[in-house]
Amino acid sequence: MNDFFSPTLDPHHPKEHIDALPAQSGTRSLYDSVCFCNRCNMCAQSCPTFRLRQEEFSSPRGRNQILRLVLEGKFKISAYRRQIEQSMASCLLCGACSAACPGKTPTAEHVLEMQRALGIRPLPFLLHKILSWRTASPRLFDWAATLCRLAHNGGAVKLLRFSGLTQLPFLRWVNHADDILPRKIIFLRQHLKKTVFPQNPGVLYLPSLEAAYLDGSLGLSSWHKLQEHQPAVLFGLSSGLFEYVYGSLRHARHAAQKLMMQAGNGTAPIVTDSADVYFFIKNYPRLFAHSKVWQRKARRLASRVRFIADYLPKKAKAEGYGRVQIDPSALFSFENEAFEKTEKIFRVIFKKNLLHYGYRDTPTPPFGYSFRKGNLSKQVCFCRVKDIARTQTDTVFFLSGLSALELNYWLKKYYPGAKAEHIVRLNG
Amino acid sequence: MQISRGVIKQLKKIAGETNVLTDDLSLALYSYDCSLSRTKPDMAVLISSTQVLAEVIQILNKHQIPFTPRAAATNHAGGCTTLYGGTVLDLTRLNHILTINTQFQFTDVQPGVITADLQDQASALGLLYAPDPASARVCTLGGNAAQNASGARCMKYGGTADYILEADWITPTGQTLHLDRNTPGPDWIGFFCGSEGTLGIFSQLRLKLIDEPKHVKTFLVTFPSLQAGIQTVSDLAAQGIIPRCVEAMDQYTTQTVEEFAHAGYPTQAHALLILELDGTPKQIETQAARLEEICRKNSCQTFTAARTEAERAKLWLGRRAAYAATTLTAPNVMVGDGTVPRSQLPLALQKVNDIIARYGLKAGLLFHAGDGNFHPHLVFDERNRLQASLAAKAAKEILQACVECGGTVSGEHGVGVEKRAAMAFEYDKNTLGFFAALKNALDPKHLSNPGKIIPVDFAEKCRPDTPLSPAEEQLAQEIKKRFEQKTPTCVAGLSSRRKHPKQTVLSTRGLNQIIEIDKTNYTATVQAGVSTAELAKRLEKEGVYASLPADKGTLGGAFATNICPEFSRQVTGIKAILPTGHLISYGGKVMKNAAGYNLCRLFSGSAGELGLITELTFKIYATPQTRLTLRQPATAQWPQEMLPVKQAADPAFLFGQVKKDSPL
Repeated sequence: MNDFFSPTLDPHHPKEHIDALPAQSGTRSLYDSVCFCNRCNMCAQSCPTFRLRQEEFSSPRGRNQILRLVLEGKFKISAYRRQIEQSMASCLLCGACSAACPGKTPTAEHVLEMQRALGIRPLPFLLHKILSWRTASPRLFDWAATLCRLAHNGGAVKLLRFSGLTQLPFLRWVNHADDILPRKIIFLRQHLKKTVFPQNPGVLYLPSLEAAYLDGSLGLSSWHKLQEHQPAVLFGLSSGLFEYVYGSLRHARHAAQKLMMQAGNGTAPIVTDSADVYFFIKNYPRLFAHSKVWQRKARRLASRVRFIADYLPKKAKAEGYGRVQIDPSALFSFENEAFEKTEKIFRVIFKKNLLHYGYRDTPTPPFGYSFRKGNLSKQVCFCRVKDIARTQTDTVFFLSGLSALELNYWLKKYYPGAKAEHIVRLNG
Repeated sequence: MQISRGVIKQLKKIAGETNVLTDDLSLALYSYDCSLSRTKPDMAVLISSTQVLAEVIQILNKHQIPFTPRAAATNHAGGCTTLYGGTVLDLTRLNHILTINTQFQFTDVQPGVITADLQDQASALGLLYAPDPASARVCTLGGNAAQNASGARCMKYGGTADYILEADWITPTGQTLHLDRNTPGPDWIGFFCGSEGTLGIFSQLRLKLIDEPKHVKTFLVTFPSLQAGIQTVSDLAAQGIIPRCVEAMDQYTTQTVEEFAHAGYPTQAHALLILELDGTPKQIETQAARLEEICRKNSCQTFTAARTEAERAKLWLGRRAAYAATTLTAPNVMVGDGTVPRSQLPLALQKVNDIIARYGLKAGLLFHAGDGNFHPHLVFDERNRLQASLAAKAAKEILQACVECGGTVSGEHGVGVEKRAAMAFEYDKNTLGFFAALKNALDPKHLSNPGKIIPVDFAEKCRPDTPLSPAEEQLAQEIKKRFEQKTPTCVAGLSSRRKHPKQTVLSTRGLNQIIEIDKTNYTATVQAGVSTAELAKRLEKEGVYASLPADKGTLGGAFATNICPEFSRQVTGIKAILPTGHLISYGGKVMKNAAGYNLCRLFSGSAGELGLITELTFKIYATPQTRLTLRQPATAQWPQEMLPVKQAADPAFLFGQVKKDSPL
């Protein structure tokens, strides 16, 4: 768009940044993309942090303008690091602002770019370390996950909490993790231990982190839904989403390359149960704007990826769910078609009992937010619960398992009349 | 400007430690709105209650620090930017709907309430808050009041000013006044509404709610020419069919929108109208039949009615996506806001298209056809200085073209800083001078949103003085003579409503011309001395009607004493001679006007205290207006705080009964 001036955020580490941000048609450079925010403020009321704090610093428009001012050299990051970090870190990355924006400015992507310039977006150290092993060292991750499962199921975590050790700063995250996790953790592979996978699968199932490791029954439901259509095979790799959001772009690319290599040149669709993983893989080509070969491969993979909504039964029983709402909360997920597809199916099943999710409905914080911004996350969730209570919703269906786990905890606490479920749980 | 530590400390004590922002990065985030104007303030204060607001203003006034109110900052004209530095008062936290009274149908709200929030809450109770600016999802009611915002439903339901019943007004000195529409005297609420925060700030509003129409029907009609479409709108008004919305698009915009939103609009048509009727099913049915008949008479190409809610949503999809369709093509969109008399729309649009083509720019053209209000969406990239300056020049020429067509530079977005220079196209020296005098009177230190609305050095740049008719000339000379001789004066028409001592009377009987009855635009321009009975007869003869009681007095008297509030609200233009002998002229045949201070509202109910009204332009209808409220003739009542307004118009206190030491 602009031939005169195209600044970069972090000229010394260009590979740590994406210079192909999503636009309505194709991609744009970061500066072009941020300049497409014309300050109309149509995003403000859809942003949960702005609605809570009512200040420009916490609004999508404010975040975009900070980035623009930094790109234009009017402010140095080093001089205002604390304030910039506060503004960017409070963003949920939910993408609700982009959905409300007439120009579809990808503010969440801008925030991530700024985060990369500031340094990584860290979770609590130990949690961050364990999750980063999933790509870097899968065996180590497996071992750590198993240890955590045994500690949780065996009551060691409860003991830890009772002893007060979880009040230590580096273990504080354990409290919330213990709160939101199911009473008994079963890995998906434990469920599928005796399953014989077909030689020529019709579909590859890429379970999300929660479906594979936290709530195996969610993965199992997805698995059964897929089996009803075609023989499936488990494809248990990391998509690189964690690295994209909380780690470095180099590691995210590495995970994506690994996934592409494993998927090969076949045509079998790759199905995931998480809207944010689905959206992330759809956007793989943007990660490889610098390499034509990898970009071609990424496009091929992106064309194969499907969301589990495609495999939901078209006719299901509506009894027992009451008034239903679909919560599209997931990372950047407001803009993908996964929500629309799901809504179409649910509209047929639930008819008038399906409540509209409006632009003023508070999104549920997506993965990791509650570990980083505990207090703010609590307030956002409380607003979400209030929305649910106000509309007298009985069941909230999610496109992402982690958001469902998060909200279920708060619903049990403040509004036990309602429950949160992943969409694959529809009729079991 | 340097703000002392002591002041900051005091403000922190009142507003809260974390609510006073002074660091550069925070201030940079309060330096913009939706326009191109950017100026960094020296301080931003986040206001958490109306009491805090008043106290903060008192301190700022004491230390002579300018302040600018700001809420959602969605203004398209730079109304929220601090031109001379100073303080931004962020009102977004004043966002509480205090009451909704379903029995008497009103609501009390704080200025930071989002318009759509009130609409949603009222709707749940079967009530409607009718003004609906396109940005209703984000704009605030305080901002709406400051700009007198309206929207698509304005043709039938009017703008924000029509819905404020009572208000708390904080003056630039920090004093809180309670204003009530039922108090005799000038319509202060109507006057302050649209003043863009330059005269003070609304801190609380009591808004009127109406019954929500249960049935709505939407139509999409296409025409072979824009003229045919506009003629249809005029014919509808002539037949007394006032649709709830009349939105129009030209062919280029229809094609752009269709490409983006796939709303099913026929792209071959040269003009497209979206019309919406509301009321009872029977009313809608009758009006729809007449609507179709009028559209067919004007050789419409297609006439489609939405049969289901989904079809209706689809018809609106394109119109609502029009802004989005343009924002996707370039980083910046300059949304114009010219308004012309309805009958002048085709000519104005032709001129606008020529200007856009001459500057080689791209623009979508949307308009509220019912009000003659159009919004050219000029797209450009502000980083490209040449393109940005071309867009700014084109926007200015568009506004000039509007004025040439008898229109105004702003219908609903306000003047702010970006259209300030264009005010000189519309108003003459006397009128701009009167605006400046009003500002000086109410804000002598120029602290409340300074530098907005009134152009700099306007005496040299403004349009030539409005010509006076022989009768006006004679009266002006007489008034000048009286001003020089300091003769007390009472303006009188037929003296039917109020009696005055004979020696002071200045009669308007010489102003007895019915200047124009425009049946295309549906407005009448009449001199003030015409008797209302005579006028009613003449209008009836022409087959049109006004919201005017046919009593014994004159038209000017009816307006100045505000005997019929419905009529006062229908006045769109006014000419008056000030007690200094200067003729001022405001508004005209335009259906809405947000440029400058609303003098129509200031003079309605002023009872001759501010000058002699010579001419009025008002809306007329094809059917008799039956719902009229008649009041006792108002005698001007002036609160002490408003005396400077009287003094601005009448420095020697010669007109009327209000005296400097004894306000009524």
